[in-house]
Amino acid sequence: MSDAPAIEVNGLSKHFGEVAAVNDLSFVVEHGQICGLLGPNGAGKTTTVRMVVGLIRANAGRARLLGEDVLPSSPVLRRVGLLVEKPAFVPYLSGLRNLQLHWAAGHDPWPPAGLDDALELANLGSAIDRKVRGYSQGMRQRLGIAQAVMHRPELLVLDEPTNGMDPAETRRMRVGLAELSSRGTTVLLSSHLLAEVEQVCSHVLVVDHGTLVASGTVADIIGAGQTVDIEVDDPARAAALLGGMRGVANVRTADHSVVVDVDGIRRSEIVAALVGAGVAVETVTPRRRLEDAYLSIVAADE
Amino acid sequence: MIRVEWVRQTRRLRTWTCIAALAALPVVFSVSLYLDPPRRFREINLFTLATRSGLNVAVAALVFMSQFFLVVVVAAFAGETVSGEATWGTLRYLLVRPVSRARLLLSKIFVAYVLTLFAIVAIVGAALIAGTITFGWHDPLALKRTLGFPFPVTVPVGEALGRLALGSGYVALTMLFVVVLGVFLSTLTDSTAGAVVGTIVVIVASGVLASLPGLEQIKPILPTRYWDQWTHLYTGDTATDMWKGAASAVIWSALVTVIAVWRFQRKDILS
Repeated sequence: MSDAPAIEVNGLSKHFGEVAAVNDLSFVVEHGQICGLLGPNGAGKTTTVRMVVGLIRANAGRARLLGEDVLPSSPVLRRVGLLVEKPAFVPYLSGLRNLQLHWAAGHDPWPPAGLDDALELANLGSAIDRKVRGYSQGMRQRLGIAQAVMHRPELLVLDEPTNGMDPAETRRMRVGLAELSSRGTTVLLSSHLLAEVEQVCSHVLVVDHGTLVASGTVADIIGAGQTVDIEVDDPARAAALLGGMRGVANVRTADHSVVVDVDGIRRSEIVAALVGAGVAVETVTPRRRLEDAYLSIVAADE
Repeated sequence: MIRVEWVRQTRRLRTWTCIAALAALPVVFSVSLYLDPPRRFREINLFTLATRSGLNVAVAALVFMSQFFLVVVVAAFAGETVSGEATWGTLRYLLVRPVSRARLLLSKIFVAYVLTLFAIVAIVGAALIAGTITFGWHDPLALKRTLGFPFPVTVPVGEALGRLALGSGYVALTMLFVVVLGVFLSTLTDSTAGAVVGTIVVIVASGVLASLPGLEQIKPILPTRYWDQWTHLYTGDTATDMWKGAASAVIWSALVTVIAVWRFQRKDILS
């Protein structure tokens, strides 16, 4: 593995006639990250993903994957797995036959290294030998993910990967992505499901009107001055204790908890202070979610 | 890449249905000739000779099939190659494999052309079988011009088969342009119907222009100008323009292939 970032985008721009779909976009995704790509409809996410993998030619700028420039048919694409917009297969062929054809197009010997793991992740059972024409949307989605990961790619680019999946399938896929990441696979995940991104991703990119409007770790994006909900046995005492504490901007009590606006102090220090004073702490939950942060970022960009 | 395209096309029911339909038409033609034979010698041509032998049926079938029905099916084979993948969305997944777009397109042209050869063999084979069953296996008739008038003459079976093979090969060569044109138009649109209809329109328009008076200067460069020259092998006319037809087919096909590859390499894949 080279020292170069998994994805390096510099000044990428794409215009469709008068419309600027992506405008001078730059970002970096480092190895091992699971990076969420967020943005409203029409923000330029899909165009960006397509430029990154060489399906669309940029008007300006360049994208590098795993240290190599991306052009149509670049050899580096062999190390990349892709699911963009929605999975697509030849409908009159079986799921397995589709995977074989996709693989054969790159002149690689069958089977790819991670086929068994990919099929297990897809969990299609005997349906893998049935024609894709009869698949549900969720089954197609799972087959699409199997196609993207069956060669154990170093970089995985996924666009709405859990679209059409039921909650159990979604959870299975989330665990699968975490496992892939733990083995060193870098993931760029474009999704509208902010709760999913918050659970899965380590980093986030927010694009709007074709430009990058925010980036960083999920914690960074949610914000330093965040609000936490601390469930305690004695909310009034906890509020009194925390009221004079440095780094705590505001404290208010709720039924079984105190709601604390944190400003420059770690949550662990607050918990330590409460426990040290004899207040039992049950849970600490961020009140502001990625969804809140995302909406405020996008609203500020309007 | 050829194997991938071959599997994609040959596992499709539509492909074999089209070829079977092409094979069925000469059978229907042969049966209709048997039930209602043309009045021979009133107007003498390749169709009025068809009742002589199965070989004559094959020649007549190749004449009428190559003028339209074969073009339609070949346009369907070729016009679907790229646009069909775009419609299904599989094109984007194919193009993120490390495969050259030029190689991909040439593979699609190759497979569409092989299917075209199958179609021609199906037409000629079905016509030979149906014609032989209905009219027998005799020395066929061809036309010979004497003082400018056509007269039927008997041709030995061996020579007639050789002429039929040459004519079929010539038709196959002219269809190469249809294949390449269909694949090219298929790179311009995500609509299979658009690519197929566009291909047929270009061929028909070229044929119409070739038949209009007053366009003598542009006729030699029209891609369909020499398409029927192979029939001169049977009509007693000089067949020397077959060389021009072969050259025209090769040049047009090469030109459109280059444009198609150039265009496809620069195409943004939005499907």
